[in-house]
Amino acid sequence: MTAQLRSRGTGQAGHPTWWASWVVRSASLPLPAGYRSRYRQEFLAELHGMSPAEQLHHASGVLSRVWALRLALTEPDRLLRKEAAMSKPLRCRLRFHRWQRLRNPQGGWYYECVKCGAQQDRGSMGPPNTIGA
Amino acid sequence: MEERRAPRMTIPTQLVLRALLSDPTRELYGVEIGHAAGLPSGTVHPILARLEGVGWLESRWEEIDPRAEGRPARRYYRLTPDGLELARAALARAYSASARPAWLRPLGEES
Repeated sequence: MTAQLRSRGTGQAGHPTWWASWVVRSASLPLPAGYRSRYRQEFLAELHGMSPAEQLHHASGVLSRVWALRLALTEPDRLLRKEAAMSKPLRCRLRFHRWQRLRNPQGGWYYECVKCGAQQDRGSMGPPNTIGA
Repeated sequence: MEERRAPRMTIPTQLVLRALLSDPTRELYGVEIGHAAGLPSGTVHPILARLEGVGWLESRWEEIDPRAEGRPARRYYRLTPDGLELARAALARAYSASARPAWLRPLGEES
């Protein structure tokens, strides 16, 4: 009984729960008819392999962004106000990046900000200006 | 070739492109791209749709037997040959546009 409840209710890691499936199916409804089936299948397939907590996070994320997806499909040149307002994080605009040291294909080192993707080739020098990294 | 407009290079778009450019030969599905880009769930699909709309990305269904695998086929994305070049150029432009003005750079730092 417990096993049955787990598989049907709260779910097991790897299989979508009924509520996550329901949420992503519902999320595909506002999409244009030509894309609805594709995205429903895509969202459902992505739930596989996730834990129930990850499914909850993923399904709510998909649901919250479905209007942005609809806009991207119907008017690709237009951005939602929230998307248009997306700019660099404040700390990056103030030049306080969070650098991580990465190796380039030539074997040299460079620094890349984990927040905004800015890059600096510093060679053997230390990391660029850093706060809280 | 049909001329298409470039997508708006928002920070999430740049992060998605960077994730795809890290290994352009590898195909990734939406959740993998989100993890690689460090973006929350749901954010990547509108970006992928725009990039696919302008021809920078192509996608295909995974070729598996869903019964044998125990799950439905995933949708895999990768950069097109044109998209690869255009994405690299667009990221380079975005980074150079965001580069520090010369008067703010420490002495001795090359531009």
